[in-house]
Amino acid sequence: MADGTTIEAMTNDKPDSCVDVHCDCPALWSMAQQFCYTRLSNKKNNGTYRLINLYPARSRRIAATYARMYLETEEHGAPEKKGRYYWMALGAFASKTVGCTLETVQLSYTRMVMGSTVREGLGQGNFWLFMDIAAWHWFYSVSPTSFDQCAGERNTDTYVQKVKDQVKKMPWEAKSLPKIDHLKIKKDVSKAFSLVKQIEVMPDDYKRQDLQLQHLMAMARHEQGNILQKLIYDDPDFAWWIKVQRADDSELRQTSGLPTRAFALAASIFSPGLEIVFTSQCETNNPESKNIAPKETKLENYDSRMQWIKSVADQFHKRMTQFKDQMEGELATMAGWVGTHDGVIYPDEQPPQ
Amino acid sequence: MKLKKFLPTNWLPAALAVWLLVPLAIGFWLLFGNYIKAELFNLFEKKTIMYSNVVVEIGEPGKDFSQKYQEMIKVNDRNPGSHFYTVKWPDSTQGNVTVKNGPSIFEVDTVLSVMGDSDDTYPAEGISGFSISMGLPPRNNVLHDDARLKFYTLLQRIQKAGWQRWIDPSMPRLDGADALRYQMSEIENGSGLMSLDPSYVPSLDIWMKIEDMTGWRFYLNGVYMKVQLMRDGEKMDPNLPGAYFLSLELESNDSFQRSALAFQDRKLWKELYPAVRKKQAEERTNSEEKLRSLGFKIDTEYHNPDE
Repeated sequence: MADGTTIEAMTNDKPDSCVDVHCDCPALWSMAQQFCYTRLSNKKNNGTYRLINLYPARSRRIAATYARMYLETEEHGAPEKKGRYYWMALGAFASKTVGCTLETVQLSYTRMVMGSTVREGLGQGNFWLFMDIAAWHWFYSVSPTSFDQCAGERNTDTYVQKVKDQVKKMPWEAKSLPKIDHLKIKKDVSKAFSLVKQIEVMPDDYKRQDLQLQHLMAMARHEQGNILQKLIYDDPDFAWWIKVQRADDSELRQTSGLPTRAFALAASIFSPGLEIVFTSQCETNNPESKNIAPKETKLENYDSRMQWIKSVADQFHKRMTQFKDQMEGELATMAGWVGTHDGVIYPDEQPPQ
Repeated sequence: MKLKKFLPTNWLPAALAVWLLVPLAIGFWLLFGNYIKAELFNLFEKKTIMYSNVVVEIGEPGKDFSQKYQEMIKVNDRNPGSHFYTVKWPDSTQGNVTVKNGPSIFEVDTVLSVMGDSDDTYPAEGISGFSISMGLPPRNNVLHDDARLKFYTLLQRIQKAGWQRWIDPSMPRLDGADALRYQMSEIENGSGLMSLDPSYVPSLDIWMKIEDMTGWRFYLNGVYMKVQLMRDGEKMDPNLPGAYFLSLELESNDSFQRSALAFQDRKLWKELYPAVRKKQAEERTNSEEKLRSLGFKIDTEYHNPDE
C-alpha cells in the first residue's frame, strides 16, 4: 500500500541534460516513469517524495496531467503541435469522472455497502493506466527520435535500480505489473504514435481530424484491451465488476446518482447508460431513470465493447470538432488541478506545480 | 373515560403490534426500498418497445427522429450546443437500419446501435451525422473468409443503391490493388486515409493484412458515407474465427465542408470551401505525379461524384 511510502527521486531530475549527453534507453524510460510517480507525489523539504494517498486527489492530478499533455503545457510540450495527443483530452475527462466517483464513494454509505473493492479497483485501474500512458507521451515529447529508438525497450524490469525500487513500492505493483506485461510496447501504442507523427505536421483540417480519431481509437484499444482488461475484466477477484456492470448496484445509483459503473472502463471509464458530458465539473444531477444501463450490456464481447468505445469516441470527436473552444476551456480548468492536495496536508512538503 | 369508548376491547396487543410493525416497515424500506424502486424501473424497462427497424436520413429534424423512436431513444442534450440521439439494441436482439437518401434506400442488419447528432449552431440542418455500429454474424465468432465475403456483399449493396466511390479530392485516383498498396504504405502523410476501391475484393491473405479503421468512402445526393472496419487483434489466425466490428458513418454536405476548414473558419464555410477544393486539386496533381514515378497506375477516368 501507499501509506508511508517515501520516494527517492533520481539525483538528476532534469531530463534534458541527460538527453544532451546521451542516455541509454533504460535510463530514459526510468525518467519517464519517474515523471509519472512524482506527479502523484509531494516533494518534501529533504528532497524526497511522498506518494499521495487520497485516490480522488490522484485522479485529479492524473486528469490535470492528461489535460496539460493535450494542451502542450506539460513538460517538454510543443504548443504549435497541439492536438497530436488527442487521446489525452478524452483521458482527462475520463480521469475526472473517476475522481468524482471516488469522491462520492468516499463520502456516501456506499463505501460500507460495497466494501473497498470499488475504490481499490478504480484506484488501481486509473493509477496503472497513468503509469503506462503518461510515460509514453512524456518520452515522445522529450525526443521523438529517442522514442523511436527506445520504444521497443521499455520494460519495468530494466529500469535503473533506483527507479525499479520505487516502482516496487507502488500500490498494487505485484499484482499489476505481470498482468500488464511490465509496460512493454504493444502494437496499438506503436500505431498511435506513428499517427502522432503524422498529425503533428498537418494543418488543422478534416484529414488531421480523421487521423486524430484513428489515434484516439488505437490508444483506447490499447488502454482498454492491454491495461484495463488485464487488470480488471480478466481478474476473478474483480467479480464485483460484473456485479456492478449488471446494474446490481442499485444502492450506488440511488445514493450517488453518479457513474459508479464508470470503471466499467471499457471506454475510458465512462459508464454505459449514462449521458456523457464533457465538463470539468462533477455530475451530480443525472436523472435517476437515465442511470439505468441496459442490462444486456455485455462489454466482455468484442463488438459490444467496440460499440461502446466508438460511441464515446464519436461524441467526443464531434464535440472537439464543432466546439473545440469550449472543450479546450474545460481542459484548461482541469489542467489547473495538477497540485491537488492530499487528504492530509503536511507543512514540510510541496505539491507539483 | 370518553376515549375508551372508541377503543376496541383488545386494544393493547393491537397497539403493541403497530408500535413494533411501523419501525420494522420503516427499517425495511430504508434497507431494501432502493431495490424495490429499482425493480419497478426494471419492470418498466422490460416493457420498452424495441423497434426492429430504424430509418435514418440526413437532414431529418432531431425532434422528428426522437419522436418516431421515442420508446427506445436516448437524447443527450447536456453538452451545450450538441444533441446526440442514440438508439441501442440489447445484445440479444440486434436491429435493422434503413439508410435513406432521397430515392435511394438500402438496409443493414446486425446493428448494435445508431447515433445521430445535430449541431445547434445550425438548427435548420437537422441531424447532420449518423454513426451506425454493426457486428458481423455470427458475432464475435466469424471465420475470416466468411467475414471477407459478407463485407464485400455489403459494399455491393451500398453501390447498388446508387452510392459512388468517393476519393478524397486531395488524394491520388487509384483503383484496386494500387489503392490498397498506397493506403497501407506511408508514402505520404495521411495516406492511410485513402478510400479503398469497393469493387476490388482482396484474397484472404491480403484481407488479413488490412489495418483497423481502414475506410471505404462513398457519396450520393449531398451525403458522404464512410464504411470502416475493425477487428479483434487477438483473433487474427486466418484459420480460426475472428471478431469484427463495422461502422457506417453518414455526414451532410454542409458539415463535411465545415470540417474541411480550420476551427476558427468553420462559420465561413460557404465562402471558404471553394478555395479548399482548388488547393486539394493541386495536391492531387502533385501526388499523382509522384505516384506515377513509383509505378502506380492513375485512374484518369475517375471524377469525384461531388464535383
